[in-house]
Amino acid sequence: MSASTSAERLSRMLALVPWLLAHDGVRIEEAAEHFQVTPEQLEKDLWLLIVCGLPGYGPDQLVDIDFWDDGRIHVIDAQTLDRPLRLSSEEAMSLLLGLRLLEQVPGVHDRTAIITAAAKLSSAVDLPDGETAVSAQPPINEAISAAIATAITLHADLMITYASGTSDQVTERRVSPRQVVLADGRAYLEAFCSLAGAQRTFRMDRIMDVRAATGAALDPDQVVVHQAPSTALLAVEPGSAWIIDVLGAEIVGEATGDRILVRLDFADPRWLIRLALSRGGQIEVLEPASARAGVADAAAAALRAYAEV
Amino acid sequence: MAAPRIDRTERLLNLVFALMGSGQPVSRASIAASIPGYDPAAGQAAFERMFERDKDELRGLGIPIRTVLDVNGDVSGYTIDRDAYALPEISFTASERSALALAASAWQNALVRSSAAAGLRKLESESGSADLQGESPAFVARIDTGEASLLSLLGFLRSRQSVTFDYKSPQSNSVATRHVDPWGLIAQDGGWYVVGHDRDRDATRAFRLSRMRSEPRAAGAVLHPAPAGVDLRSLIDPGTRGGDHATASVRVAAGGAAGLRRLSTDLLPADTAGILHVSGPTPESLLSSVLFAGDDAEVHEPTELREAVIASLTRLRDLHAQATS
Repeated sequence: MSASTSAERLSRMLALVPWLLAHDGVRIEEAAEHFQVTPEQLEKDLWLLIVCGLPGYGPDQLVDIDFWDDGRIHVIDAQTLDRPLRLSSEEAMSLLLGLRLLEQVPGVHDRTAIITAAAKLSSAVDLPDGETAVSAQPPINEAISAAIATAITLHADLMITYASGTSDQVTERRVSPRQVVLADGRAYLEAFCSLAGAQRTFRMDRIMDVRAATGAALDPDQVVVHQAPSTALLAVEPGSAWIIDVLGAEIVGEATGDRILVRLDFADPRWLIRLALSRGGQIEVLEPASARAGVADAAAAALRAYAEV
Repeated sequence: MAAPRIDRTERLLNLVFALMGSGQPVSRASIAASIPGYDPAAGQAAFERMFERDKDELRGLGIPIRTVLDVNGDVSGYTIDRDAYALPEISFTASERSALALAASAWQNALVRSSAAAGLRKLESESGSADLQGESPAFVARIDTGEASLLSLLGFLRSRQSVTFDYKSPQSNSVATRHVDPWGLIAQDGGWYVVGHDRDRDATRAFRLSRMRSEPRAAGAVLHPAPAGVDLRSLIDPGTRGGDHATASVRVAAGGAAGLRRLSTDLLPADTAGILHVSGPTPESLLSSVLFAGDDAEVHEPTELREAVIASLTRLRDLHAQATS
């Protein structure tokens, strides 16, 4: 058994006994599900616990748990394990950060409970309950998000005006909103889209307008279509190197003139061409050749408007 | 017949019981003699190695093993104080339990998720489990990042500690050690940043967590706290939030230039071509937005922007018309 597995198991068993005390008579299956192990593993843990205890290891010194009568677990003697171990810094911080972000979710039903839970947890782990500046609130239009929240609650369809970041086209589409996800400073609407005929994710900040949709609701039982990504090779000047982080590109080497050679996955060549355009030459598309030619053509087409004046 | 093999978990568990049981320090000799799994026949050196490893592992789990010294300063034994070990009495309301359960489930990264779940289970020993029945909420919070430094930075932020870390500059490939008084953690557009006072540059800076090349380490108390009332978001990217400092009038094509239309308050229907008044934080960001629209946009005013667009498009065309080297 590896070191990490025995540490994990020990950690679980230390937490198991106080939890069982608080949930007297719980079924083995329920406890196993709660601790994310199989019922067989949980039973092994229980068998191990009842042979452990204080040195001497006589009947009065061992942990005593009854779990064979009816599949329900009763702790009879926990010895010194009746209280849970304090939360590790990681355990406490992951919960506190989660609470802090939950607090910023629009329309969250009980903000007070989130704040008091964080305060209690902080005091239990000896942390000052000071104001912690954590912000993951994406910029979203309140009127639009309120309309979407209402539509989700009522299972109603909406007409949205969406500014596509890929094609730069403004489109009207009918959607059945499912959920708004706030993740790492971004907000997405997950919805079934009539235009795509499939489940789609929309960036909330690109939804320009919403209106109630009339008529029957959309049929959401459709297949999700994923476009297979292609890979581009780009030469990027330091002034545009931020795209490496933001777009999750991969540095593969150096290019001429102080530039970085970058590999980037993309789904739609129109988007890749516009990305290159927007950087005014700081990003050179090397591959694929079709996208490279596409940039030259798009730039020439745009120049034509200016030549006429 | 050989002695039955004792499972390592069993040995560790019995060690916890032994050290927490009596309230008295337990000597190494007594540990070696009484706890099953420390093979007395294996010799002193083997015991020492095993015991050191076990002690480190328990401390790694957060179990507070205290080393007790005698009057001569020699180690007389080890003990676990129950008060230091046990989570204090804590009671959560049903709403607070639901909030904690939702907070734990926000994490998408498997490692942090299991940490949060383990913490939640400890709290649930005190107050019972959350009842998360019912419909899923319209809005949910999710944490996609797996940056381990997020949690340690949150700890340093709360304890008002300064931090150092190795950081890869966004402009070059060079890595340097930075020293920062942290003011806050900000998520923007999929990335996490720590904002604060950069001690080396003596200026306000934002550092992207994905560019850190070492775990952040504590480096004394914060000397430069955040100015009162400062908007941390405005510090990380003045470009996106600093107001509208550049304006232009642009002719846009019907149905196109979606990005530019978002920069305008004009009521021009999406399917209609026309002149739009757009505003952006900087001339550079406006230039970029106009270029993104390609031939769906033509700048009328100001002349500087119009000329910058022509120069950029000419460069783009010439650059991409050549054969690749």
